[in-house]
Amino acid sequence: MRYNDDKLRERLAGEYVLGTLQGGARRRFERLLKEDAALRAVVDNWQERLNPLAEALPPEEPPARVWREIARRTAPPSKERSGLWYSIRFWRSLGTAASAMAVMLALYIGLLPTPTPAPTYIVVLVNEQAQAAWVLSADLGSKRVTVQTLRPQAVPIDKAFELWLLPGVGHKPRSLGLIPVTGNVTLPLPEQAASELSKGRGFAVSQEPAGGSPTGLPTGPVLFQGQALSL
Amino acid sequence: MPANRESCTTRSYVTSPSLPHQPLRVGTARDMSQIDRLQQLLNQCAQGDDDAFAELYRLMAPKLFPLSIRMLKRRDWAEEALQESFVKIWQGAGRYDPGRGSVMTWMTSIVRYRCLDMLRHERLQPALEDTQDYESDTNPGSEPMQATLLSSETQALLRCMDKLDVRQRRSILLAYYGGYTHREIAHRMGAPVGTVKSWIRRSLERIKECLGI
Repeated sequence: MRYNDDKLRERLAGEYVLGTLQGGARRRFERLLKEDAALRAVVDNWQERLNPLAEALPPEEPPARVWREIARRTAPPSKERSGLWYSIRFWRSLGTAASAMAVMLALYIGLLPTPTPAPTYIVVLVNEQAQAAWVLSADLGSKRVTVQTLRPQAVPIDKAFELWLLPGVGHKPRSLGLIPVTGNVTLPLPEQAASELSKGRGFAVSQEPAGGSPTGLPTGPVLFQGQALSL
Repeated sequence: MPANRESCTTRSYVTSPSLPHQPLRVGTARDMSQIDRLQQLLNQCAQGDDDAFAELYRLMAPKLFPLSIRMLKRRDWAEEALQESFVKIWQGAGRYDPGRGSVMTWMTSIVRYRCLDMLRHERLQPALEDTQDYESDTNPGSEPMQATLLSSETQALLRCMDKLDVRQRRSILLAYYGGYTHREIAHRMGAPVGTVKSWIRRSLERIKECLGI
């Protein structure tokens, strides 16, 4: 097609705006538009001429869900969901951390006192920089989880660290109790938690008010994460 | 349901026999303050102002939604097209160039091209379900819309449309509001494709000539 013919350019632009320029011809025209500013101006003029037709229609409010979806799709990510809990980078870093931890775990297990029966699950809780803070050993036989501090953690005087079991998508985190910033503690493992744990779910530690979360769900930032590894 | 609001709107303007002789008042729906307001809102959108975006939506969505309903003939598709278009408007607000046309025209183009894409590329087949009458030429006595509600641009265009031959006008309306292809228009009007093509070509030439822009 001879795109240098002014009359033809005028006609194609008009039909492009109207919509009757179709198929291959429309696609060729669109490609040409990208590199031909003069042709874009011809199209602009046709839009200016024909689009007032749209205003001749009686107005109609779209349903509220249309705006809700637009608002959701145009919201900045930080506004919609924030914090470590929703950070993809953090979750992604867990994968890397897990590999690193495997080496450390082997070492740790080697150092466990031999008379103690081997714990069924091991969880290393790491921060966003993949630094390990605690190691948990969950024994399904005795329904206990032992928390050992690997690296003492600082926490504001009116705050505490709370340990959560993450049962997976669609389920609320389950609190396992507060954990110390240093030293060891043994916490009971609820019956259901034990079965959830056997599905290989994750653990998290959030910063909460001194007495623990007032709502039964994490209210503060999630600072540490870990995946249960079956031994 | 052949007689619907849409045919009423377009018909009353394009076919009312007395219209060309009526003195057309300068439009009020799209006066200067409205034009400035839309442009200001769009500038704010370009800077990430989501309140301005909500306001722009509030002003423009009721004008653009009927267009996507007409073109796609299904409300769920029309909602989807409107959604996609407004996401695009938000993302492209910084690229809007006032030298290339009004905000109204720019936004209308985004919606129309989105609808055309949905009709063509996504192989939707709404034409089969469409029983709408785009222009009833047999009912010139229908109640005309209030001229003053329409912008001066729309009034000028409709006045030019009114000067077209009835079949030429109908082919343009089917293409613009219905998003139909030459072939579909030919089928609907019972005319050869070649004839429809020349009607449309001729109409576009005459509209340009008549508007003088």
